[in-house]
Amino acid sequence: MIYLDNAATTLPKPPSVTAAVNRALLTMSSPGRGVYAPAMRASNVLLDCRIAAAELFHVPEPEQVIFTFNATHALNLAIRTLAAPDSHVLISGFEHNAVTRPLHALGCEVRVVGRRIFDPVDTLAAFREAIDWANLVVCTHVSNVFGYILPIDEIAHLCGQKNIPLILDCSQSAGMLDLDFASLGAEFAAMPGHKGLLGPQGTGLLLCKDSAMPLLYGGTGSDSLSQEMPPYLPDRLEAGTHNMPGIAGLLAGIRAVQSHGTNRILAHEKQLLSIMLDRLNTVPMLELFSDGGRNQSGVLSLCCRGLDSETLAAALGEQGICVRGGLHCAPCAHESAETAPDGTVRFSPSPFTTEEQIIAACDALLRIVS
Amino acid sequence: MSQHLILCRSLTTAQRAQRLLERSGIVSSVVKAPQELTGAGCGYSLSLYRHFEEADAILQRSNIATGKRFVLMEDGRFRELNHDIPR
Repeated sequence: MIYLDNAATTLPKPPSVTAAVNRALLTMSSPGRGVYAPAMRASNVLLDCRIAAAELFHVPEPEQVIFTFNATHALNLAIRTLAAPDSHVLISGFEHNAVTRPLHALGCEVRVVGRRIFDPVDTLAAFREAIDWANLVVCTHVSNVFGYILPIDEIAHLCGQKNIPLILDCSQSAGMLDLDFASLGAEFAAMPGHKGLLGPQGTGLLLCKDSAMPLLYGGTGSDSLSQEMPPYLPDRLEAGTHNMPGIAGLLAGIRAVQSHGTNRILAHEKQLLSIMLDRLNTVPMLELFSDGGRNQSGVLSLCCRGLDSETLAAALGEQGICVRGGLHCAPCAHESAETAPDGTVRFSPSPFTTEEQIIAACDALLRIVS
Repeated sequence: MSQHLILCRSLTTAQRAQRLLERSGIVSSVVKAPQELTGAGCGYSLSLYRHFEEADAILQRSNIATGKRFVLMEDGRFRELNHDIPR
C-alpha cells in the first residue's frame, strides 16, 4: 500500500506519536480537574503542547494557542467571533467548505476573489481591488486541492493597512511552511493537528489574539461559581474535557516537525512533486495542475481525459495507491480551476513518502491510463 | 518558613509561573486555591515555603499575570499581603 492522501490525514505517524498517545491513555486523567498526579501529568502535557506550538508559529503567549477538535472547529470559532449576518467577507478562490459553509450558515455576504491558480500577483491584486468593500478577510495559506501557496504575507500586510481582520486557514501549510503569527498580525490562524503536524485525528489548533468568543460553553475547571465562561484564554475557549491522548500525540508530532525542520519537509515534498511531473507531464491524456513547484507545495492534482476522477482514484486504490478523487470538499477551488463538477485526482505526499513510492504510484497511474 | 500562596487566574498561568520560578531555582507547587480566597470557585495558586520575596519579584517582572498574594498565619488563616509587607 502506498498512501498519498496526506493532505487529508498524514499516515503513518512517527512512532513517538503512537507512544505518546498510548502513554496518555495509560497515565493521564483530565487536566484542570485537580492537582493529583494523573491530572497534573495531563496539565503539563497540555502546557508543553501550547508552548511547542507557540514556538513553532511565533505566538507571543502560550495561552493564545487553543486546542480544538480539528481545523473546521477552529475556523468556526474564528468565523463566529468575527462574522455576522451582514458582514462583507472577502475570501480567496481556493477556500475549503470549512470556511465557506460557516459563512453561508451565518448569512454573510461573501465575495470570492483571485481565481487564477498559481498566480500570487493576480491573487494579491484581486484582494487589493476588493479590500475596501470588506470588513473581514478569510484566506487559505495553501490550497488543499492544488497545493497553490497563496501570498499570505502580502495579504496580511494589506489587511493590516486597511485595519481589516484576517482569518488564516493553515490546514495545509502547518508543519510544512513557516508561519509567523505575531508578524502577520492575523486575528486567527486555524489548523488541524492530524495533517502536517503529524498528530492524531481529533486534534486542531486555533492561534488567536484576545478577541475570540466561545463556541462551546461548559466546565473549564476554573471560576466555577460564575455562569459566564472565564474571561481569559485559554479557558474561555476550551469547555469540557480535553482530548488528552490526541494532544499528547500532537505534542510528539510537533516535536517531530521541529526535529525535521519545515524547510526540509517542504523541500522533500517538492522533490517528490518534481519526480511526478517528470514522469507524467508528457502523457497526453493527463492534465497536470502545476507551476513546476514555484508557488506550489508537494500536492499534485490531475485530470485524465475520458476517465472521471473518482473512477481513476478507485482504480489506483485497487492497485494499492491511496489517493483522493472528486472535489476534496473545496468546490470553490474547483470552480476557480474549472475542474468542477468532476474534480481531480490528488496526490499528496508526507515527510515519510519515499521517491520509490512516488515512482511506483506514477507507474500504476501510467498502466491505468494506457 | 511560612506558606505563601500566589493566586493565578488559570491553571495555565500557575503552571507557567511555577516553571519560571523553577528556572531560577525556586521550588513551588501548583495547588488548588482555597475557596475563600478566590471568591469565584475552582482557582489555582502557587504555593511556596521559601524565597517568597524573590519569587514575587521575578513574577512581577514577568509577563505572567498572577493575582493576590497570601501568607498562612499561625491561626490557620490566610492574610493578604499588600502595602504592609513589601513585595
